[in-house]
Amino acid sequence: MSIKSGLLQKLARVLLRKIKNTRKPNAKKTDWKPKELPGLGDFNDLSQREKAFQDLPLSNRLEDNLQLFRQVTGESYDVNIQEFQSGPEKVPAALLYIDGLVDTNALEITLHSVKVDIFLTNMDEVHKKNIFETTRRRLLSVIESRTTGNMAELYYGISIGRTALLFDGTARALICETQGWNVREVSEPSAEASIRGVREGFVESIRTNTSLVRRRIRSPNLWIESMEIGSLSKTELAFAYIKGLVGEEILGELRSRLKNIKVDGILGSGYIEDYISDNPCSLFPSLLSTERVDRVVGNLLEGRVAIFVNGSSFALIIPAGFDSFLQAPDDYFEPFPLGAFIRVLRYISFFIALFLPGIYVAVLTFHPELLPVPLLLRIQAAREGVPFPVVVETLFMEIVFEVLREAGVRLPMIVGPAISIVGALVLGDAAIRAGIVSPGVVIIVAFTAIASFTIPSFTLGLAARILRFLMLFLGAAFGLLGVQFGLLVLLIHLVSMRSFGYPYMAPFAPFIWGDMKDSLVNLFWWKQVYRPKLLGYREPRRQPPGQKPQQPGKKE
Amino acid sequence: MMQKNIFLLRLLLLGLFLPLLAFPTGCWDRREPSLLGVVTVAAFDYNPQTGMLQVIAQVANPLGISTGENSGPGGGENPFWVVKADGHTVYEAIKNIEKVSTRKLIWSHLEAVLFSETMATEGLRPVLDYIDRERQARLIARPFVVRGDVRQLLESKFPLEELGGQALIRQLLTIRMEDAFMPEIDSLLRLFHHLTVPGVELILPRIEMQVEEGEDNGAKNGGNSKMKTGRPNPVKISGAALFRGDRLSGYFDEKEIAGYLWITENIRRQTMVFTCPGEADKYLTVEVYCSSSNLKAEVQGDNVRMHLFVRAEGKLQDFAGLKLPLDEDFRKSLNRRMATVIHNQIDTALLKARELNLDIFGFGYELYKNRPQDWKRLEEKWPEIFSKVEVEPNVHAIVRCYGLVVDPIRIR
Amino acid sequence: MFLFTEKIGNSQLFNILFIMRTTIVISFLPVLTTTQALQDAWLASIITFFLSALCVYLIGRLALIFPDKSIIQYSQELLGSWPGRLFSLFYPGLFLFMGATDLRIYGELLRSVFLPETPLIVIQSSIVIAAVMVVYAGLEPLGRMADLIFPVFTLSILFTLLFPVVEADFGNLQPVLYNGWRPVLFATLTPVAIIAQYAHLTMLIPSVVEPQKALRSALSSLLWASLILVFAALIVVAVLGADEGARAAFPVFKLIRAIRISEFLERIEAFPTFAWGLGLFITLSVNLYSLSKGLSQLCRLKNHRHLLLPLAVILSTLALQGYSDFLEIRSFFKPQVAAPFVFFLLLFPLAVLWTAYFFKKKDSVF
Repeated sequence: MSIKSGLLQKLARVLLRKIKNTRKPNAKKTDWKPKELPGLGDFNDLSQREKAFQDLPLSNRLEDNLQLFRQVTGESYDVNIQEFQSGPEKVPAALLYIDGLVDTNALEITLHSVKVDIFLTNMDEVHKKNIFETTRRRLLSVIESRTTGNMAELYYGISIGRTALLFDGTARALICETQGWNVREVSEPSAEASIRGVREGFVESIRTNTSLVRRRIRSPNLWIESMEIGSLSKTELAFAYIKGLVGEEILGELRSRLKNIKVDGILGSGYIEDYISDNPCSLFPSLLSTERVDRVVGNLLEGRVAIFVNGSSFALIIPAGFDSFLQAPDDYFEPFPLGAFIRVLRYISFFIALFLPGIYVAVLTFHPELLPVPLLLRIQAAREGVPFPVVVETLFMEIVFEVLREAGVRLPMIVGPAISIVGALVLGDAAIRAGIVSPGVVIIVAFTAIASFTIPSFTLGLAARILRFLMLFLGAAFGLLGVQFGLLVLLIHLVSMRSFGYPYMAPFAPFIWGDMKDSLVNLFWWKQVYRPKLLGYREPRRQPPGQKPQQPGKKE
Repeated sequence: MMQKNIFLLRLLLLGLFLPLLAFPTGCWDRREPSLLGVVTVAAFDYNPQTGMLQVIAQVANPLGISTGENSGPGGGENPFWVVKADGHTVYEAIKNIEKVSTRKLIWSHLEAVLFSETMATEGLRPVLDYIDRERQARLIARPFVVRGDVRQLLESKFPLEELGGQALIRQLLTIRMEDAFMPEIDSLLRLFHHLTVPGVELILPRIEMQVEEGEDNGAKNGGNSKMKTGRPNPVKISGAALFRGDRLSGYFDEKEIAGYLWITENIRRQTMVFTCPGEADKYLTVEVYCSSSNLKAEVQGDNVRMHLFVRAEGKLQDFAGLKLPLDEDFRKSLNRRMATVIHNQIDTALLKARELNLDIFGFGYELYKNRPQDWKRLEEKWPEIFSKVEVEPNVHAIVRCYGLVVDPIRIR
Repeated sequence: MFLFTEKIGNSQLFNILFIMRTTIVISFLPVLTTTQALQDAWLASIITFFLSALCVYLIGRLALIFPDKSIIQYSQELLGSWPGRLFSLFYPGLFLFMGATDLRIYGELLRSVFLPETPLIVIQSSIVIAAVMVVYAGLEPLGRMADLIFPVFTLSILFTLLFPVVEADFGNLQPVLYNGWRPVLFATLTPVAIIAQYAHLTMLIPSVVEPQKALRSALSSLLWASLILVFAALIVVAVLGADEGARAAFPVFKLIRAIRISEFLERIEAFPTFAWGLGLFITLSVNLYSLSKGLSQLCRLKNHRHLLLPLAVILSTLALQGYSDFLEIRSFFKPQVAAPFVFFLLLFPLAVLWTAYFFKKKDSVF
């Protein structure tokens, strides 16, 4: 009922406005003042303004349109309005664009064709009268363009760098594709460095990003769907997948989750992550975000979906399992045994980063009998005179380390290393010399820190850092029993998690032996005959088996 | 909105609750390492005055142990502290020790367990049961019988080592690897095993004090003694104590142990000195480096005959004579002399064992394992039968290695 | 894949049963400690396998006749509504009792070895809370936990058993059958009685992906667990000696404590304890699942999760109050006590159900 009445009201308002416009055809330019449109006055709040602006049709008169436009955009300094007269009939026209978003070359071409080329055209009377249509056709030969009769669409067009052409006497606008703003150059992502990997990383422009992917997968089955999210920001969002490989259930779920997002602005893919993540309260990431092109392409080939958000150089990959957060690009570019070794090393260091301080405290305060004699005696001797209990000491050093790390990240590049050297060396050494902490704790904390640096995913590293404190407390309160409890609860949490239906701990739980080839270790490429069982099940085989290279003489 | 708040509240509660649990010290089983005293060697004795059981513990002193920061003896402190107390039972004595100790003692890191002669003579049972039952005690500690003052032994300092326990164990290991004059009982586990299986008696390594008069024994001068060079080793691990059940009833000297080891197939190294051929005042040394032995029982009625096959391989280590005749005769005679030495050692050990009537070789156990029916019959009267057991050693010894040179040095 | 199912795979069933069986069997090695089998414990373990396999077959075969029903449901179908309910009460009782006993043994181990001053309730809670959490999350996470725990558990156990081989003296295994067959056969009774754990099959089979292969999974898990048991019996006797092993409260545990390979490789009892803790977690979770699921089916409740917390409390209390000390547990596991008691709970309802099934079959044929 209310919707219907709303529609009726809208219709009535539009009609009313049309009548108003047509009633005063010969009003003088100078003292014509458009009536304040309902909803666009100074005292109208955002939601009213947005609403009023949404269904504003263009009028026949250029003057009206420009006034309207000025009301909508205010006196924004970057919005350019160039008025001129076009064609032999000298029809008043205007060019609308936003500085900095348009490519000056394209703008030049547009202007040229509208102002100059129009005279070169052989035009009959009809065409002379209908300058709009003529220009449109003329322009089509040089530049992409389309028409609209709506102020909102016009504005959204120029807000992404298009140029709008308005002619007097036509209630429509020509929108020309003149985008061209400065985009950061495609460069190596600094947060995900690799030694032999691809040096191209995503940038903040969604077009560049999708093109980077398209260049690597040239199949027509690479589909990229797009949508706009954000009532104010109107952020472009696209998700790419390989049609026929990815499960349609995942796509359906993703579409419905994306559609449900109602927010004013999206400033990065992290926002999207919050909205579509399966386990928002979990410390563990359930979407993989990456800046690396090769990583996205590799995941697409396994049957995953990549989400790009305009303005963010991070693509999101769904569904993501626990193992994808411990994969680093170099695993794939180094030959099998080396890549596998560093992969396994990373798993081990994840557990070290998570449990070492907790186990240290638990063993030292609850189970000294587990330590060999010389080791216990050394630790005890080194701890002699330290005024704090082991827990407090460890906690203290952990906090010092976390603060140092945060300071190192926040500080400018040049100062960053300096602070970590000062912090780590001077503070640590001074603390030991002053007898406030024992060397053992410093070793443990430093080793834990170094281990946590090997985790490729920053989010997973953060989870490990936070949970480490939890394990520390559990270990300090209940000994190894507490650590065991912590481990159990952690595992229970992990195995009950899903990312878009994909079991988070796969292929460890549920255990899939065939998928171990790219989880715990990564085998030779020619060994990876099948795609991951739960993702690429629609087209399980990736390559024919038996491609192991052989020496020419050995072939039978 | 409400949901979020509850979530935050839970998080807050968890954040408050866990640290609260973690911080109070001494709750339940938490012990700060700085409140613990690690006992590395414990000795059990009877107090000669009161006749009560006495426990003497050597506690590692963290202040005296050198750390990386201040290598060398930390502040001149003694690296250990010796404390003793009496009690009716082992546990009572241990609790009495804690009355005079500033720290709680933990016994899980015992490396050596020493029994005094009196203790061994009275029987090990009270100590053994405590060790078996106590959660902190581990069966990896090594048992010794000490001849002499146990307390003095615990207080003495060893060359090269900081703590008595480690010193004793390393000494034992070295002897085992290099000289073999040591019975194979190297952990409490073996001790328990020997006490429980049928047909074998217990044999333990024996420590002898060899402190000379006037020599400082560590406790008095502390760190200063380290300045002197060549502090003598205060103890000598030599010989073995023989038990009947859990009671001490005799000793073996080194020769007899060698015989014991030949029989039980535990020999590793042994050096033998012979005179050089044709030069009676010059000597040569042969070291046994590889050996095996095999025991077979033969039962006829109440007569038990043990066939012992021994195989030993030796290596010529030095030769002081002028000429080394590498001919067949010399080698045969050398082999024969080796075999005779081994034969004699075995006979000595057997003689001593028969004299004491202690089946330390496990002849009975051998029967039990391989001829259970006979053992069932003989078990009752085993002590009498053991004294009549005939052992037929069959020794095959050979010298295989002659070193890097053939002839001895020819001096002008 | 994309729906929340309450299904477990067959390999997960295998893992669960293997972990359960190995945990309890390793915990106090009943073949060795309950009777005077001494050095023939390994022989008893082998016989145990065949007897247990027979029991498992009896349990599993009946369950497979009704692959989509639990024992609570098919006993009602076979015996009629009320008698069926009465008979199906046996099994939840069995689960409760066995869960409590397992929990108490674990608590006793930790209390007597690691944490003498920590209250038993705290030790037990650490496992029970985790078990409640996983059962609350569902059977699927439980199966996945078994997947995750299986390799860690097996490796720890194997490590524990292989590590002491260096010190083993296999001469300790002689003489074979010194006291004849009697003690050996007697020693199989308690371990066979513990096969009551496989009664969980009757609750798990309806949730298995391929129920027809469930019996095979169960039997192969029993086989592997029995191999571990034989191996454990061999190693314990070879290293500790038969007498020392039989006197120990926790033989495998004593074994690992008594071992020193080098000056540094010692004191690794954290491994078996950890494995045991993980195994007990799986055992308790399955117990709690079967209990709550069975009771909810008995009372026709839709969601078994509501029963979880009260059942967990009952279980913990029973574990705390059921035995006053470890000696009571030991004396309970004497073959004279444990075997009749467990066999009655396990086999009596089974016998009745089988009989009912044959009568019913006859009726339907004629």
